[in-house]
Amino acid sequence: MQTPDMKPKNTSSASPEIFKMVAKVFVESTLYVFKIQSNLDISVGSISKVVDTNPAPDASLFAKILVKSESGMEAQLLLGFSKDTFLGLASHVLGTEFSEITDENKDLVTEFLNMIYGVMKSKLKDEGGFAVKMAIPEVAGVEVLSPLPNTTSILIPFKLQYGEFVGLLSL
Amino acid sequence: MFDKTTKILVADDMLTMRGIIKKNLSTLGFTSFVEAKDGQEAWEKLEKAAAEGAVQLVLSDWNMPNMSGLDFLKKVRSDDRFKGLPFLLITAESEQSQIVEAIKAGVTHYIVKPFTAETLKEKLEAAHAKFSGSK
Repeated sequence: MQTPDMKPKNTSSASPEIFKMVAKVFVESTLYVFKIQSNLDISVGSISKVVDTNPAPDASLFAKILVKSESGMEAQLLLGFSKDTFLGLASHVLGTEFSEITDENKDLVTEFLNMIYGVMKSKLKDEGGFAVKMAIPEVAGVEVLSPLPNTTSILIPFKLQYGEFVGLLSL
Repeated sequence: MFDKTTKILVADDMLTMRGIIKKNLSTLGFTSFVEAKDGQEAWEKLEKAAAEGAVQLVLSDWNMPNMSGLDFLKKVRSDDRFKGLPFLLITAESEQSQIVEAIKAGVTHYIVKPFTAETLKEKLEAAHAKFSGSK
């Protein structure tokens, strides 16, 4: 299946250096948050630029967050989980065996993204001198990965013992 | 360290975060929890518990709808019944200005997400020492 809106975008307002730094911080922050909060081993796979030939990742649960820097630069962070990966993670982190995605567990993705965002804010300020505004993560009620329009987007696969999940950065 | 029967009020608008906090507290041996989804509900439950026999420790998120964790803390500290209640704020923010604001409002300790059960234990021990020392 192709995601219709995963088209090549080369109109990022960020310079390649800034994009690279934000991507590095996103990856590092995601690894850190999952390692600390879930106490699971986590690894990152090959990062790819989002183009319309990307196969759609196996993901059914998403959370996304829009971030604005004080200079007006916009970015979108998104996490996408397959059902199996999510249920394994949720069962491990919450100490309850889940067999379905429910209201009781589904905001876990949002919570993890919120933590990643918090860590990123500190790192971006410390390492890049960026001050970013507060933003509230939201669970995206979508079944496709949707990059932020008019940006460059990359897809980052992460692996837990319960399976893979993806991060999508649009900047 | 706090007694394992300590009744703990856990306030967070995210159901799963309350679950994570409770799971970590359970790992440390705690068994008695009261939950609230925002500062307003936390305040109402704290008052109700005061009449019934008491919440002895509060772990509250900072960013919550209706009443934030900071406003909840200020309300708690403005009430003579709860001036000595150990109150830990949990947040994804680690900005110095926020920490200073929380200290000024009377927070006992401050936990930055993500956190491990070990970090939570250390903060609880520090909060208990501070609370015991102030008696």
